[in-house]
Amino acid sequence: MAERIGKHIAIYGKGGIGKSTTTSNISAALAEAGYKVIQIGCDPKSDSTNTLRGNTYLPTVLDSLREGNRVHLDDISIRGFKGVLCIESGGPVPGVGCAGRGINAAVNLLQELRLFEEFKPDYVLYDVLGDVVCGGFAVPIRDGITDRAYVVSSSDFMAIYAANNLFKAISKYAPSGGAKLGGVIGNGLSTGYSQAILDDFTKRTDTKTVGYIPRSLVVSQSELYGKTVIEANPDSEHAKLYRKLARDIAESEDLVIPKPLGSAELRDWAREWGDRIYSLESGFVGAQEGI
Amino acid sequence: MAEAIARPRYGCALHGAVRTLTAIRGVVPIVHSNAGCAIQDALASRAGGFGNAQIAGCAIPGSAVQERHVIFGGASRLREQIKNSLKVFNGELYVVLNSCESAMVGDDIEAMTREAQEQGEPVIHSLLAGFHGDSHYGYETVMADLFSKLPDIQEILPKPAFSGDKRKPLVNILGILPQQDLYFRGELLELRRILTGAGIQANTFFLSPEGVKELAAASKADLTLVFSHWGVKAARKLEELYQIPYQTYDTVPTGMEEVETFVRQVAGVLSLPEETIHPFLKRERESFEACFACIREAFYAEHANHRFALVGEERQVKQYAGFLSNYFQARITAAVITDVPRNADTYEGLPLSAVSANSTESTGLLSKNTVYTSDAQEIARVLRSSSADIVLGSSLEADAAIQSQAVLLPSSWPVYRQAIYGKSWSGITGAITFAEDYMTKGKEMLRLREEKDFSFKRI
Repeated sequence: MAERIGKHIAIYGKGGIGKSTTTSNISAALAEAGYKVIQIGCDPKSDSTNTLRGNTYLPTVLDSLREGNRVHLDDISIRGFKGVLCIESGGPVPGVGCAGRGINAAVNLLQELRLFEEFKPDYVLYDVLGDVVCGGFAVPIRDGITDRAYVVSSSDFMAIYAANNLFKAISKYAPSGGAKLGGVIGNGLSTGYSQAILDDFTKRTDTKTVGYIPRSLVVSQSELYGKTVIEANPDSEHAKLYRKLARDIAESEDLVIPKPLGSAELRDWAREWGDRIYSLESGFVGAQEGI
Repeated sequence: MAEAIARPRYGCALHGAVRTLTAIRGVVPIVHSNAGCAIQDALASRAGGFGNAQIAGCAIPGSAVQERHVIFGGASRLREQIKNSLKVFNGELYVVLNSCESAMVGDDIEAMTREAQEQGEPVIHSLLAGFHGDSHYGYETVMADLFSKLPDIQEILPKPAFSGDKRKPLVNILGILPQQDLYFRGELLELRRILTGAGIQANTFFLSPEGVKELAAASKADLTLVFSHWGVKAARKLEELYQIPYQTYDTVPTGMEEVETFVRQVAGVLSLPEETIHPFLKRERESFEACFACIREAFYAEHANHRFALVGEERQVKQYAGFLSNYFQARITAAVITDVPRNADTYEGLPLSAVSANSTESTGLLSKNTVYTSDAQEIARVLRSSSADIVLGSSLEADAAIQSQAVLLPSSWPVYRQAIYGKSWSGITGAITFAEDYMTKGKEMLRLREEKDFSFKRI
């Protein structure tokens, strides 16, 4: 692979956990700070960059492949908020074909079109579908396409399970030139112990949490307006949080190869936390009853 | 750690299915795969006599799917290919075969063939992604699928149906694999000749001008005869669906005694009276003896009881070892079985104690010197230490035979320097041919040893 132009960052996480929201806000914050940014949605749903481009129509990379016509970068990209170049890989309709292969093909096509040479980005963010279910979804962290990955996770077990799966993929590919892990981005954290659960998980896997985004109406409201928080509510606390997260991710060179937990280990760890939360909750309920 | 297997001699499941279908007159296979799957088999099939009168080799229609069909699904490409194949090829039955790639993507093949059937077209499918197994698996699965699916489309198959004689019993023949069994044409012709002589009609499926009609008529047979364990799966399907009993044989009967035992046994199951089979057996014995008396004379005059080593499929090894031992007192110094033996739990370098006993039951000859492998290096090692005069095997054994100062008698697939179309080493006429080939090779071996020059003798 030729020398990489800009920093290429993959952002993973369980479906519905807030990857696209987080990625788009990071892109928006970086663009606001004056950087040239590309965001590539690697998900058949093709909605990663919606809030950066005000929900305008954008043909996907794979749509163009399906048509079989000669493709130009202009056909499959659009400038969004502060010039962020938005691209969606796209994919098959649910239940047919192979979305994993689709991501592979889309990334290859973008390289063939000399996207990075033409645009000369400072940062490229890949927003990748969920659970790394097959080799196709590991494409952005393999073969030197990105050199760092972040995972968005809440404190829910299934989100952590997905994060652990990504750790497995990273620890498999990193020794042969694949991406390393930048850290975990806590998202949608609500209860008091959420942060503690996430911190404990990162500690056990020799990783770290790089930011905590609490659950907030500002995020939901901005999305309903079809905008990022940075654009819709630039002075909010959440906008500040995203700017700090973007700065940390942009500047950090602290990359690690995670030590994923084994299946039994992860289950035992979750059970342990289940017991602790139960004690906490029953104590809390008891006090309420007293009132 | 797994070990490398040098020069394996089997294609994938898809290849086995392609070989099977292209041997049936009237069948057009449609391969739903990326370009190359069917071509690979066409190239490999050139061994042992290139040529197929059906839609075969490079003529096989295929969907040649590309990356976009992998990503978005290839079902619509297949629909188009079925439609085009129906226009271009004049077949009686079209069979869609899928491939590794379409199986992994999960293309809905069944929906496409159902759609064609609803339009009155005789199209069925067999899901045979290559990774399911080797070419033997392809044969047994596609045959089982043909038997189970054809009655459903009976109404749209060409008329009239099978033109058999309803007064005579009808048997199905399974377990002889097109191409994989080097002499499959000759073997089926001989079996049909013997059965017809005994008053029995046979569905051989391959070589028959009524291939598709025979397939459809398989469900109406009185009995299925299975000549290797690769036919059992399809025979069981016939039993399960249409209550047709089956008989299994370790080998195709070779030699007069064996054929007579076989005919009497089948006649017994079908309740045929002695007068139906006796005149035929008598005639056959007379002609067999007329030839074999001469062979016997030459055999004693030339001291032709050679040492021989065998390399081939389980059925072939048992058959040839049995015949040469019984009729020529030839000595087996080594035997290598290259397909997965019956009841095998393990194979290729792993313990096979469980199958050894089973595999020796028919001939009782192979117990000490039998090796189970398809690894050319291991086979060469066995042959070099065998002290054989004649090696019965494939062209892959040519070098090892030369190194052992033995001559090679081609008996298993692949064979590169010999054209084989209708001959066989089975039955009665085949036994004579086998005896001739054996005696000829014996003479050749002695001459070469006298000349001390084996270096140019390759087959």
